[in-house]
Amino acid sequence: MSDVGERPAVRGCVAVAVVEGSDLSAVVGTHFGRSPRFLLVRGSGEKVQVLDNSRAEAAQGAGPATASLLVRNGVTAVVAGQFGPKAEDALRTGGILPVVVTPGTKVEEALAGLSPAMLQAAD
Amino acid sequence: MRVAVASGKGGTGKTLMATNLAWSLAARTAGVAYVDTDVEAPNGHLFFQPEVTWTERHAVPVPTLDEEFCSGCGECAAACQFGAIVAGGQAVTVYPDLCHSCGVCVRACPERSLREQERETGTLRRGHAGPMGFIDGVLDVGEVRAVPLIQAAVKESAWSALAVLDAPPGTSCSAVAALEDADLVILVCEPTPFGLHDLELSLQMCEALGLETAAVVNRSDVGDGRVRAFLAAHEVPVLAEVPFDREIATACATGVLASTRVATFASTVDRLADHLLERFEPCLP
Repeated sequence: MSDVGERPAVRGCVAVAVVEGSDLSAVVGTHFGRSPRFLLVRGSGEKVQVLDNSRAEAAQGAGPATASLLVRNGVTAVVAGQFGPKAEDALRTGGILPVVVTPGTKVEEALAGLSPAMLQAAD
Repeated sequence: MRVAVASGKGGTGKTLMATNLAWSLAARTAGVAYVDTDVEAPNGHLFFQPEVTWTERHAVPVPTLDEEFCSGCGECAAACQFGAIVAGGQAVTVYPDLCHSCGVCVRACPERSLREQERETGTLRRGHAGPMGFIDGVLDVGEVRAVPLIQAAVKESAWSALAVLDAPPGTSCSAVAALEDADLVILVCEPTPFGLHDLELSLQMCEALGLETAAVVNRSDVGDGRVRAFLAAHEVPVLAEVPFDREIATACATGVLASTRVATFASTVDRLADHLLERFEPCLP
């Protein structure tokens, strides 16, 4: 079985959870579902778009709701410090790879750890 | 986006095409899920052995009678359009198998002695196989109401950007429930008299539902030319032809994706996947 990391991204972008900041020097956020903001990164980081997460404050189900938001934004992989079980289930059911990084990692460092194929977009 | 793989006749290769197509698409792009809506015989999982991460028992509401307050007036039986309630004299009997869960009986009852109770019909499952999302519905043995579970499985497909729906065979309510929201229906057919007969029915159903159709001709080197002539006359594009190959049958019989064993079949499926991606890419998020 080929792994998701090997497939070429013919479309879409990588979403990185952040608490603040809007460029690649921002620090990756700890929690996926409660992340107030995502950076949508295309190409090898040349294009960064800020997506504010309207679902972060949801009383419950923030993880799946956030997953659904990202699916609608054409995300191919998501980077965060941790994923709740329901969020991980929702992302993987949608064919999206959750990528866990250690706390304190910068966005650019996290992206460097992903395969080039995942970052290259036809957008 | 939803691409449904359907057929009139059982055994034409729906699951063969749906599983291999979904796998090929998932190798090309993220956001792909395989959805088995053939809830009476969901066997796509045999090819993927997915890691199931979520399951839920699926239930439909059916009326239950509180006899203490029932006056036997029969309003409920008169209101029911499906013959699921029979009232005779003082006795009112509910037949849950016939119930369509519309709730009209509960509203019709002047004594308010009917209330809805959940009746389980099957299990919904979500998970993934490698990079590909996986969803299926498994109907309970002996259960007659497949449609609500099929609709629930189709609804779950919203987790993915591009879902490949493996539809139940035929043209009845089950098939309609699986297909009605599809953006494209790929009709898998074979060039035999049986294949032609059932293809005609399938196409009629899709036309009645206003669905866009395309065809894949399986076992394309058997039979005669009437299926192709029929498809051409109805302007249904043929997206792929799969000649009979014993190796494909062997792979299926051993629960292996044929595209991982038979190179010619793999390239046919990959071309189909490329075609669909090219076509749907502008519509994907």
